[in-house]
Amino acid sequence: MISFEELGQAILEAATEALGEGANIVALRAKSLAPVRKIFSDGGSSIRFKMVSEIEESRGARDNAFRAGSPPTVVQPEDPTTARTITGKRPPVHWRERRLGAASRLLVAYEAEMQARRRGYPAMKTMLTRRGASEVRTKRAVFATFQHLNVGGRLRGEIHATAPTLAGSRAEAWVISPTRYAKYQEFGTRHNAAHPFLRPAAAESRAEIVSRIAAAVTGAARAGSGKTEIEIMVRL
Amino acid sequence: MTTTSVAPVKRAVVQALRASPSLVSAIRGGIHEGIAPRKVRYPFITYQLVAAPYAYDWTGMMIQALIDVSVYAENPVDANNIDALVAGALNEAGLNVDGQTSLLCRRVADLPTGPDIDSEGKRIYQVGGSYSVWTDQAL
Repeated sequence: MISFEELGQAILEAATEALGEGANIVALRAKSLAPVRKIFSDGGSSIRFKMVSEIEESRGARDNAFRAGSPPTVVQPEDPTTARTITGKRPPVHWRERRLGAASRLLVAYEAEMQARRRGYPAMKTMLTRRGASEVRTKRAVFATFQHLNVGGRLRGEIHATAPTLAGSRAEAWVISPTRYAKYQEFGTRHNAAHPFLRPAAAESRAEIVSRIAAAVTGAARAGSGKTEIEIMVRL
Repeated sequence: MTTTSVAPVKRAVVQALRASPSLVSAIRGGIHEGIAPRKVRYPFITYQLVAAPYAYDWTGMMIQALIDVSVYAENPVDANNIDALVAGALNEAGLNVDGQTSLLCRRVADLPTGPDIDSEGKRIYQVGGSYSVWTDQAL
C-alpha cells in the first residue's frame, strides 16, 4: 500500500515522461514541416530509356539495309530534341543527396551540362537548380549533422526538444528552434511569406500528447492501486 | 455529405476585417494573404493560415484554425493602432463562415516580431497577433 503523496508523485512522474515523449513528437513533426533550402530542380534526371518497339524498329531498319546490299551506313540516332523523354518527377529528397560530396558530384554534372549548352547542344535537365549550383559552389549554407556536411537544412537540423522537467506540480518540456532566422520563417517578414513549422506541429500533435499523458496517468494510478481523479491541463 | 475546408474561414476573416470602416480607411495598402506585392503602400495587413487541424466526432467535424494577422506600417504608432482595430474586428467576432457554424474567434497570442528595414532603407514596423478560429460542420 502506498501513500496518497507517493501515488501523486508517481502519477506526476509518469505524466512528465509522457510529456517528454510528446515534445519529441512535436519536434519530429516540426522537422518534417520546416522549410529547407531548395537546391534541386523539380524534374528528375532526363535519362533516355528506349522502348522495346524502338529497339526492334532500329534493328529492323539495319537488317533491311544490310539485306538490300546497301553499303554500310551509319544509322543516325534519333533527334535529341524528340528522343528525350521525361522519366517522371523524382526530385532528390533524401538527405544523402544533400551531403556535400553527393551535391558536389551533381555540381560537376551541372557544369558539364552548362558547358554543353554553351557549345550549342540542346538543353537537358539538371538535378541542381541554378541557385542550387551556386549554393554548392559557394558552400555558404553548409551545415554539419551527424558528422556529415549537408547543403542546407540548418533550420531543420537544429530543432530539438528539451528533456521534461518537473517542478512541484508543473511539468515542462520545450521544443526549440534556435536558428537565428527561425522566427522569420515562422512569422514571416515584409519580404518573405511565413512558413510556419513549430505552431502547426504543436497544433497537430495536441490530441496525441493529451492521450499519451492520460494513458500514462491512468497506468500510474492503476499501478498504485488507487482511485483518483486528476485534471490534466496541456498548454501548447 | 460534403464538407468544406478552411477556405471559407479565411474568407470570413477577411470579410470581418473589411466590415470595419475605421480599419478599412486606416489601411491604404489593403489586405493580402501571405505576403504583399512589392510596391504596396503602407500601412497594410497580411494574414496567413498557420494550422488547421480537423477534429472529428460521430456527427460532425470541427476545424480549429490558427491565423496570423500582421500589420505593417512606417511608424509604430500606426502599426499598434491598426493592430488594435484588427483585434477589435476579430476578437470574439461572430464570423459568417459558408457551410460552417462559427464557434469561436479569439486572439490567442501576439506575434513576437519587430521592426525591419525595407528595400528602400525605411524602417518598417510589424505588429500582429494570432487568432484562433473554431468552426463546426455536420458530416
